[in-house]
Amino acid sequence: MEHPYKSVPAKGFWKRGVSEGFDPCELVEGRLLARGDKVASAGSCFAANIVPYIARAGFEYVRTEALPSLFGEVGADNFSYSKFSAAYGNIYTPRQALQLLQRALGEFAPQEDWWQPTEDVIVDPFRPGLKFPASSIEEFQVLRAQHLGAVLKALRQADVFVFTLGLTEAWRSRADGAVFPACPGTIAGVYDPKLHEFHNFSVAEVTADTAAFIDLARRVNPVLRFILTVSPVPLVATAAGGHVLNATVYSKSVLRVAAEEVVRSLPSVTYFPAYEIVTGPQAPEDSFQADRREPSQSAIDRVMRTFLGACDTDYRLPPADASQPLLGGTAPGPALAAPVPVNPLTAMGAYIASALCEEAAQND
Amino acid sequence: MVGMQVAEGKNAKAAKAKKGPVDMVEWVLESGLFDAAFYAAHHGYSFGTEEESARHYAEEGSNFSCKPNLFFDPAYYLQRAGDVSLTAQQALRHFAERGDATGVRPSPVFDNRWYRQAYRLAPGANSLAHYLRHRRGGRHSPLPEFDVAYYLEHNPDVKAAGIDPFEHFLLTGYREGRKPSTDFDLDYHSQLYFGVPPTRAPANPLLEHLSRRLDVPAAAVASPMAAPGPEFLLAGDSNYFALGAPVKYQGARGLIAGTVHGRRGHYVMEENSADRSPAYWDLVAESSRGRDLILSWRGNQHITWFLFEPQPLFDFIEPAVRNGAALRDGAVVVPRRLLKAFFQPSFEPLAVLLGNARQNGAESVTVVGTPPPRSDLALFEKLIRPSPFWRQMAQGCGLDLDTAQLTRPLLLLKLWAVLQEMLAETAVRGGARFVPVPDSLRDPDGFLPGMYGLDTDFTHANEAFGSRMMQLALEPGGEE
Repeated sequence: MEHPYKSVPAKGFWKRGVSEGFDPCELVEGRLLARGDKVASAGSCFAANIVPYIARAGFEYVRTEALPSLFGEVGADNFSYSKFSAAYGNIYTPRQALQLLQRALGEFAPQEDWWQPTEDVIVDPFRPGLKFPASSIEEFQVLRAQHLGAVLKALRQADVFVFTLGLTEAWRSRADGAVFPACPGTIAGVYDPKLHEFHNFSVAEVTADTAAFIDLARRVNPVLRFILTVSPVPLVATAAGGHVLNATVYSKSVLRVAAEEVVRSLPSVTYFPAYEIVTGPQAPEDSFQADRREPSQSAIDRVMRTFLGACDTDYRLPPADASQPLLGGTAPGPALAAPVPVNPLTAMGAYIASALCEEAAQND
Repeated sequence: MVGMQVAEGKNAKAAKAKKGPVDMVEWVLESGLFDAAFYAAHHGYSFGTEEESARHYAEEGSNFSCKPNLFFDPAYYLQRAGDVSLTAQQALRHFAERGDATGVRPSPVFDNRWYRQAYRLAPGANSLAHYLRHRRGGRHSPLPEFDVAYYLEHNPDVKAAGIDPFEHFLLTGYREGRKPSTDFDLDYHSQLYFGVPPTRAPANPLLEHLSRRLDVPAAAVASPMAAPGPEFLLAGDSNYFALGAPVKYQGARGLIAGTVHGRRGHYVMEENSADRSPAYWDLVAESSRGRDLILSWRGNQHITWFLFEPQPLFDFIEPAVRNGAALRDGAVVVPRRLLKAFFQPSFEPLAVLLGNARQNGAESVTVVGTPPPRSDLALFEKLIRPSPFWRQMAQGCGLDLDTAQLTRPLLLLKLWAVLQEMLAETAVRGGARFVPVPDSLRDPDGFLPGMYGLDTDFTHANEAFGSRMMQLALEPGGEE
């Protein structure tokens, strides 16, 4: 009997699969998105980068918590809250995602539920960078309830949920384990070692949390499909004590293994190798910007060309050099930067107000 | 400021003798139309000589529509002169050289057509100069409604004091129930206009009568002999008309003198009452030196942006409004701070203006609250929705007026409350005082009561509202 490698396809060999002709389309098996699929996403900033691409390819990106467009640029924020299906911002660890869903379902109520640096500033510890923090506890509670409702709504509306695993390192509450998206004291809040602790999640924890998140999400929407990815973006900093490069490789390795374990254990969960496309040995030198942290535009294009190649769409991303960059550095994508259309309601209101102002001058 | 140079005219001979063009100072002094004592007292100045006083009028006062005598009101005159190119500075000379002869009335309190006939003036004579020369003689009256002989006959104390009888009547006589003539029934008019006898009337019934008969605001005929103290300078956008600024103003950008609640001051007018230009605000800052600047700043941003129900619907919690935490079903709740950020650009020029006014030596700066919305928009339904003009306008905007929904009054009220807070914050940061709209001018829910609204416009308040706000603005610590 022939040994098993005799039946391995060409892409199973490094020489033919990589060295002598790398085709990223061969990395994906099966179809990621079907025509008409509605897509929601969460995770690190890489999960936000996909949005303009899939929108262009004709898929609906689910948004359940956008500020009314009439507020235009004023409403735009710089902490990614408007980039995701609901305004949860970056979710770096599966534990944070799981807890978000538990909070939305009323199954978890963190003890550190808000920070109040001054009397009329109420900060959400789980969305510390919100551009417009609440002015009162009453307003905070209304906005938080609206936010958590929008999370559930997004899960209900979506057919596919893309979740990008970002980090294993996190800061959490010593009291109840609530995971903060950023170390208290960095973006907002005050760091207190008696209240806050560092934690570096293990493979077992990440696997269990990711699976638990998917299970819980399917309680909300039983037919929801998942695509897991690992963010290729290295850590900004590590609190684990060693070199940030070692910490990055550890972190990404854990996430990659956990993703694989979940894909193997749960139905309708697919892994998409964005991480491999950007960081693998085949990746061109220009995959990162000069800081060797931010993926380059061409790397993101390669990822999305591969992604869309596995989707049921007639849209094809133009070749790299001919394409208008869809993403530039940290600037928002085109779907977000689109000019606010002239609103007939406000245009007319302005006419009436200005005409009546003139009329005020004519009144006796 | 450079005085107006006049090369010809009836003083040309005098000018030639001095080997130079006749300057405006000389013209003023020789015109017979300048009352130096009145000018100094009325405008709160003090001058060493009559010439100094005339120079001030020629070079500065005339520019700012200051009155050269009790009976010539440049703002009033300009509106009637029928020459839109005429400036406040040129008004007095225009009156002397052309207007009087053609019968243009110099102010509500001097009827030159009647005077010319009654006293059979020669065609070339100036009626007002004639009156100013003879007014203390007891035989010449400025108006048919005031009979100087009658007044002196019935008030021997006035005659004995040798004071100007008409000024006496204007200032104090009416309040003592002294009748101006047999033709003008003071008691009847006081009851008619104010519902009280003249002894308790808030203003002179004769002046009120003139204001109505001549169709000018009461402020334009108010007693020019008001109490001393720093002048006020009132400036602002459309809401300042309710505060007393002359409505129907059709003149150049400049200052118009007026009196409100016994305080003298000036209104900064934009050319033809149009939208305020940057030059208008520059003039406000420049003119604020030594004056109590009173500002009415915008106040219709909530109408501009949100008169029509926004899509998607939004709502927010407003603690300053009763029921402000009631949220509309299905509306996106937005943080209150977002609205403040949204409105912020409309307050930035105010901050700059406050800084400039301070730098230019304003005696004080007061920012006045703007009127709240009304609790219903019935006037919109009456005036806007059925109007062919607005229907066409709406079509141009891509809006169907038949179906367009108006924003609920409670949301407009909440937005107004945000604007008032921002007005107050901007004022205080700029070193100004803020006078909020008191509860007495609002209904129990906080809206503008119908009695303070206009019949023709649902975005502004009426004079009764403005008069109370102005009173609060003029009184130090006048907040209710």
